[in-house]
Amino acid sequence: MKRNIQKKLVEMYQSVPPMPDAEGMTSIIKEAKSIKGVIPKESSLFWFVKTQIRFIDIKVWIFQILLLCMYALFVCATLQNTEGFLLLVPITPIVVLIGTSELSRSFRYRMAEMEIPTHFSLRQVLLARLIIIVAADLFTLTCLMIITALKAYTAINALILYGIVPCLVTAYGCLWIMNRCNNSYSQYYTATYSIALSVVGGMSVNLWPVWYNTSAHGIWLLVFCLALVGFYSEVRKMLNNCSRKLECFNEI
Amino acid sequence: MELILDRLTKQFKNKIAVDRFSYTMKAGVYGLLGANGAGKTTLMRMICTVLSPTDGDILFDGHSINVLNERYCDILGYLPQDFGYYPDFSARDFMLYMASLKGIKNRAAHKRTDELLHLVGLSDVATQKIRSFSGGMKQRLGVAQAVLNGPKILILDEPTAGLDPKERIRFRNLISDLAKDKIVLLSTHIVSDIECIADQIIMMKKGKLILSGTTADLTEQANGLAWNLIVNPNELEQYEARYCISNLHHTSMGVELRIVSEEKPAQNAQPITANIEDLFLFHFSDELGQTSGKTSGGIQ
Repeated sequence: MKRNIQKKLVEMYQSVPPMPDAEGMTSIIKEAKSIKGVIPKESSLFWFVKTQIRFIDIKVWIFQILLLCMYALFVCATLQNTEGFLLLVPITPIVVLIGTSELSRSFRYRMAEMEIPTHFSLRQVLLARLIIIVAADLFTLTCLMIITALKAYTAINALILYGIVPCLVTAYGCLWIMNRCNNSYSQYYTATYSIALSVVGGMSVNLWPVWYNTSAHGIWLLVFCLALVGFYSEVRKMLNNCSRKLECFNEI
Repeated sequence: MELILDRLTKQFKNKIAVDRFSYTMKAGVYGLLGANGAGKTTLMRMICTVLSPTDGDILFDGHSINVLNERYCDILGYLPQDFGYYPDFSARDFMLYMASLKGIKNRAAHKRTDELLHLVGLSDVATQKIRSFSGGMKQRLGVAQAVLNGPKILILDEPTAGLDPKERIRFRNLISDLAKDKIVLLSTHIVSDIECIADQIIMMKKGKLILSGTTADLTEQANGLAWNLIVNPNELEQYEARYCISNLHHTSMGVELRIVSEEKPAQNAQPITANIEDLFLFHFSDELGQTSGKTSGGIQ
């Protein structure tokens, strides 16, 4: 029994816990602080596009809604049947114009220098804005075409052409201007271009009604394809310019 | 943590704005001093990936920042010299917008925005439009957005320009608070802004690094450059034409001049303790528009 007690006492004295490690404690505290200080981040483009919707100028949404309401009122209350498509052609450049100001915002308000060195750089900011504006414009255009279809006895494929083609031609022209003129005057140039297209579109219905014959749809399709290719190349140029940073921008 | 600038060069058409600039930075506050057009902003823009260098490289912890890409931007905070803002944004909107660009999730972005607006003293005006802010308020908002993502590298380009003395002191204290365990590079041509807070001072002239060191090192280098002299008022013009005068004070005994010069300007000139400002004038007086024809003080 004595030996058992002795053995137990020896084991107890030998099982003394180790001395506290001061350096280990310091490193644990430092690690805990760094974990606490970590800011949760997100890096997906989808999340980024979703967050940017909130930062689009509210005037863009207001003007789009106003335009839709006024168009609906005018078409439904004023126009005779079969004439609905007459307004569609001149109105679509204005739809595009409302959204283009968002694309040049970073340069007009000298925010580009602050936007470039961030996780989602200027390139992605512009891409996000483009996606949002294009989606909004397509939605507005669809609503305009639906309203027009209520009044116009025009084939739906023709309506789509009369809506999409002026929209694409305007978008291509505006991007062409913005890619070559990155300063505060670009919005005036794009406005002039869009309004001019709108006036030409409005006049064409009366002066050149042959453009709206079924036989001319092939030309509309050709213009659609050319404008689409032009639009795509200008979008790529715009995004590539952002990758080459501030050297490309006239403002700086 | 180490940021290496390796023979950075930036050429714009026929002008070399930054010329083979090499420097290594570890954690601490670095003051970048130089006259207008010295290349400070160009250098900072290259560090912040806003401009691409013509030659040379920037390495963070041994990796080129071109390879790191977004990972480098995640640890970077930048306040440009002259930044704009979207006119429809309030201070809070601006912070949340910058937080979204830095990839900060919504809940964390709101929390961080509240914390930082409180830190810079803009909580009360968080919902006001930025266009109604004074210059000092805009600069404070700029600093707040720069530290949103808890950066390890903070680049501030002339953050105190246009601020009144009270705002400048407040700003200096704010930067000192934020500078712990970070590389902070702060550019200015106002010596007093960095004399107190910079661990290292870097002097830049015509795109080149001309001097660097602690305040104490540079002050020691400046020894023997500052002189005190009392002259007759009718001799003043003569001294102004020949020497770099950092201070001029009319007294009852004559005009008391503080002259920056390598050589003793007059027999009765007394050597005095030089400071960083004297050293700055010694190197930059030709660029600061002091009159030509002077014989010393680093000017032709």
